[in-house]
Formats: sequence, C-alpha cells, structure tokens
Amino acid sequence: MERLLDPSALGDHVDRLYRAAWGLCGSREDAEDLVQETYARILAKPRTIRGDDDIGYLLRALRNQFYSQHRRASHRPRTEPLPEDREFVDPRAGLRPDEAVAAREVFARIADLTPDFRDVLVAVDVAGLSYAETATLVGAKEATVTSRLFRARAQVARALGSGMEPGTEGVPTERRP
Amino acid sequence: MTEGDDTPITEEERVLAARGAEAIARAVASPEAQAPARLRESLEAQRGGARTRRARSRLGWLGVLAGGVAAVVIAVVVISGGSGGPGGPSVFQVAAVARLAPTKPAPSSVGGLQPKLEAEVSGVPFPDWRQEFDWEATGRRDDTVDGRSVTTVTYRNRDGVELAYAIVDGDALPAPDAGREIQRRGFSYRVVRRDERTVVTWEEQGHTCVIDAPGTVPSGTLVDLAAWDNV
Repeated sequence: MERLLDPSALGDHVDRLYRAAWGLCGSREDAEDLVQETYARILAKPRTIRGDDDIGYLLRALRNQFYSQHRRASHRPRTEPLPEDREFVDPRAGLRPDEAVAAREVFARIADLTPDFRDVLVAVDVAGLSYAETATLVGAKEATVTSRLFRARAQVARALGSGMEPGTEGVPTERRP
Repeated sequence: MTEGDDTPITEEERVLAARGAEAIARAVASPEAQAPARLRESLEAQRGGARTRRARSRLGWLGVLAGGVAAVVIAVVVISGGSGGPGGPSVFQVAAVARLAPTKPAPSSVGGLQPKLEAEVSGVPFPDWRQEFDWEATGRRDDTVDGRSVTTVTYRNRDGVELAYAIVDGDALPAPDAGREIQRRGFSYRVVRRDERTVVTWEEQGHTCVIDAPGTVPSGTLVDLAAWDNV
C-alpha cells in the first residue's frame, strides 16, 4: 500500500541514518552534511513510499545522495576534512574517549571497504535492515548479501587487527568511492 | 558480481567475521554513533522551516518591526564588541553585520557566462547565483565595521532560506582558527559552525569574503556557492 512519507516521523531515524552516513563517508562531519542534504532533498516535496519501509526509503535516498555527491566531487579537488574537533567539543554525555576512538576506527574501516561490501555491511550491521531489504536496496540476491556481509565483516576485523585498510594486505590505498 | 560472491566462505573468514561483527556492534552501540544534537536541531529546523516562513508572512509588519529591533540590538552588540585585531574586524563581526536586514534593493544582474551582479568591492564582483543555484539576490547593505567598509548582498532560495555574502574592503582579515578548511578548485575555504549559523570565509583578489547562513544549509552547498565564481 502506498502512502505519503510523514515528515514528522523523520526524526525517529536520525541516529540510524547518521551511522549509515558515517559508514559511507568515514568522517562524522561529512556524515552530518550528507544527512542534512538527504533530508533537505526529501523534504523538498511530498514523497510516496510503499508500506512501512521508512528507513529503507531513507537509506536509499542517503545512498543515492552519497554516490551523486561523489560523482560531482570527482570532478574537483578532494575535500579535506578536519581538523574540526577543536570546534566541535562533543557534549554527548557518557562518552568515553577509548570507546570514541574505537568507534571512529571501526567506521573508518567500514568506509574503506569496496562499495559492494560496504553497502551491504552499512545496510545490515549499521542501519539494521534485514537481508531481504538489503537485497532490494543493493539489487542483489539474499545469498549474495549474506556472503558479502560475512566477507565485509572479516575484512573489517582483519583491518582492525593489522591497522591496514581492509582487503589491502598491506598495500596502501586511497579511500574508495 | 563482486569478486568472491560465489566462492565458499572459509573457516578463517567465519572466525574473522564473528570478530568483525562484534567490533561493529560495539561501535554502533557507542554514544559516539548517536547523531549529534546540533544535527537533530538542524533537521528539526529544516522540517519546520516552511511552517516558520508561513507564520512569519502572517506576522506582516509586526514581524518586520520585531526584526528591525533585533537588527539594532545586534548592530549595537557588534559595534561595541572587540575587534579582530589591528587590521580591522574579525570575520565573525563581519558575519554578524552581514546578517542584518538589507537596507537597499538587490543589485541587478549584468549577465555573462558566469553572471554577476551590479555590485563589487575593489574589483571583486558579487555573483548572480539565480540560474545556476536558484539563490536570488534580495537586497544590499553597506556598513563600516571597525573602520572597514563591508558590502553585503543578501540572497534567498526557493525555500525561503536566506544567506548573506559580504566582501570587506582593504587587506584580507585574519582567518578564524576554528572550523575546518575545505579546498575547491585550488582555493581554500574556512568553514565554521557556531550559534546555529555556518560561516564560510575565503580570500578573493586579496579581500576577505564571508558567507553567513543558517546552520541548516549544508556547508558543502555554501562552499559550492563560494567557489563558483572564484576562478
């Protein structure tokens, strides 16, 4: 059944979208911009969605926005993120520095995955989509989603263990689109 | 098909995958992975923007009067505030003045391949972003801040969001220490977010340019605007 996306419900999904954006971009600042731009685009006009799949729709919009930005960015010199920490002293309560560092490391490793692996891992492990929803999102079979997810997780673990980017086996690489 | 899609998963990969899944789950559950409050506020403002604009238009002259009073208060605060050093005001003082209501009509467009407005400061023209970005010039004001002449053109997009673009006459002001630096087309843009506003500043032909916009406008959009005519 089709219905209009309720703008007042968008706030419920901010955390998941922010995490997904961070997993795609690898930088919290770029993730914030990506979520803002995605919401701005969505709010520009009424949106019709099927069923109750708000998060699936939002994640698809976020992913499209990310790749569209990347295509534009590839035509101009690369943006240099940070050093913004000085400006943004994070006021979130209960934040432990070691946890924060570990989380940043994990998200950076996720962002370094090749797109096919990264998209699946971000959808399932970061945004919480089901395998079936993820299969629809990335246009692959569920079995493919399962195997990519396993390998993506393994690559992240390997990269965290070795301090190298996933899948590089020690070969330095630039961040992938 | 991605490499490895059709090859069986090895035992080693299963062990590693379990370890990776644990690390990812911890990261996702970390407070660090919650959306920052400023992002929530910004999204809420985006969502409520249209409502606010409708309400403001209903306020009519009462709103204009209230805005005028606020402008005077801001001007007094800025003028009595500290300077940016011996060479003139700080970028934030310029931004605070730039966001005041315009006092003159918007300059007209002079067209061209990269259209400009009929307004400039020592050879640095104000851009006409209407065709390319859908931001239309809505007004102009001229101020003297800490002894320096500041010309501002205000722009509005189709959602009613307004920003101010100021050019400071004379030598470039010191760039703020805060914020982050973004490179576009070989030029450097300093982006600072504070008090729910985003300020972008850069140098053009030796003069300081400043864009002041609500924090709801993505900084990438502002840098795109700033970089468009800086060639």
